[in-house]
Amino acid sequence: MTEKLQASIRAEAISWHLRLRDGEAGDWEAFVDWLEADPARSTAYDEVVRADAALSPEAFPAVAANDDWPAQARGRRRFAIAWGLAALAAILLLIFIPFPWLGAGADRYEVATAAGEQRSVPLGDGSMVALNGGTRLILDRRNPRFAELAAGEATFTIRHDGAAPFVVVAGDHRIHDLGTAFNLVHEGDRLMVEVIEGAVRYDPHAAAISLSAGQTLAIHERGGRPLVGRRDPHAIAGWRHGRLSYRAEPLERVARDLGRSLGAPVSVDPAIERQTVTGSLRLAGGADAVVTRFAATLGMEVRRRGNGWHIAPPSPALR
Amino acid sequence: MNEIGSTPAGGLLRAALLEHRAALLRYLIARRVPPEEAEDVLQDLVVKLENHKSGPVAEPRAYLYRMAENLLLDRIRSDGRRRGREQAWVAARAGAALDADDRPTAEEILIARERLALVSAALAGLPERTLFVFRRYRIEGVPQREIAAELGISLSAVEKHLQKAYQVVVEARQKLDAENAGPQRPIEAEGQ
Repeated sequence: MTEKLQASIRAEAISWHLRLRDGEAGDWEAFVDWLEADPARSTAYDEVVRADAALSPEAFPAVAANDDWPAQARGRRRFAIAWGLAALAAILLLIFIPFPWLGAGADRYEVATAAGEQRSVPLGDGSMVALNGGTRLILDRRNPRFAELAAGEATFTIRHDGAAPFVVVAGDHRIHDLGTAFNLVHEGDRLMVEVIEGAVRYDPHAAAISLSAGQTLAIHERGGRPLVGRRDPHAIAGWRHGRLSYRAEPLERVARDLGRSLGAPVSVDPAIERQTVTGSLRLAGGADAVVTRFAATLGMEVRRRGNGWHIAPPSPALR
Repeated sequence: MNEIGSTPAGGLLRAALLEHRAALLRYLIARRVPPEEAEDVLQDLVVKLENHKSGPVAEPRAYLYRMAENLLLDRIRSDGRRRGREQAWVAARAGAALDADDRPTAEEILIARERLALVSAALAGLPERTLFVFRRYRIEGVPQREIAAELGISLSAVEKHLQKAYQVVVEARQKLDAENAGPQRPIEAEGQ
């Protein structure tokens, strides 16, 4: 095949790749017709998608801080797609605001969410991290396959790459992703790993505990033993869809999840913290309403405590 | 409180998959998946739909094609990796068992770094505006239409910028693959 012909097939393959990003069914059918006419076309298309998948934000030259193009663009942009907005915010953070004071060198960046705020951060390569409220995630510009969950909760949806396993560090804990989606909670000395899809390996160099979809690993205290459990993958990281789901899980856990998603602490009376909860609750309608509705379903009482809430058994009517 | 397991969107997609199964199969075969493996890909798709948890999908058919394409991409990547790994191991210690875990070899890490550096260099050589359009489209996920409106240029001008950027990226990648593969070029790069 001549080089010229090859170049023209490649140009066509790129055009198809562009067209198909938001392609309708008719576009895909036309694409099939194009492919079927010459087997070399599928190969050319493979090359394009493979090169595209390997692109990451790190591959792009840094934008100068005085470059006014993106600012101009932002001003005119209609924020039609929610995740587009989140992605933009995250990228601007990554590109414009280095956090050299983190101590790990100028290549590390922090992406953080305020209490009650959620945000998705594309990591390039098709990988994605969704941050729940009150979360601090540290990324490394030189190493796109690394993240540190300093605090909070995040769901990682990672593209598998055997040449570079994705490594997540949380406190003293280390998790290797084996091409997967998983949710991670890191609060003080507590750690919870929940695998939605694929597999991860906890503490790969020592304990090397492999977890697959529907498996969870919890550590409740500093130096504590990792406890492996199960959870319906559908129920994991429900906060991303505004709904928390549980099957026989302790109230105390539900309260912590609620607190992170609503942006203010929810505490539970020790007398009922081991009580289990099954079912799902919507996070819509304002934090106060969510907590009140939840407590009412359980037949419990809720009071304001500090900037958050406290759930307790109904106080016995005047003794 | 009793809505666990209800996935109406996933159910609609599963119905669409049954209806458009033949078309999807045809697509996979056009993408040069051997027929018996194409069935496996469709089966993987069914499994994915079981886990489908996002909201309703506007165009189920297009969505299914997209999912099938993503599965293919995963396969392409893992094939390339397996082949690279096998070659590396055979070269390093003939007869040894294949690496069972997913830890990268030093060579793989080196290649990944080299690849990033090469693509970075290629992107740095693009005109500023082309780079801006590409970043906006590929990294920030902005539709072409919106980029055209932002810059006050035509849709086809946006496409030309993107076409140019992708040319550079694909070329950079191929250059590196050719260097690393040396005489043992990946099989799929033949046939042209």
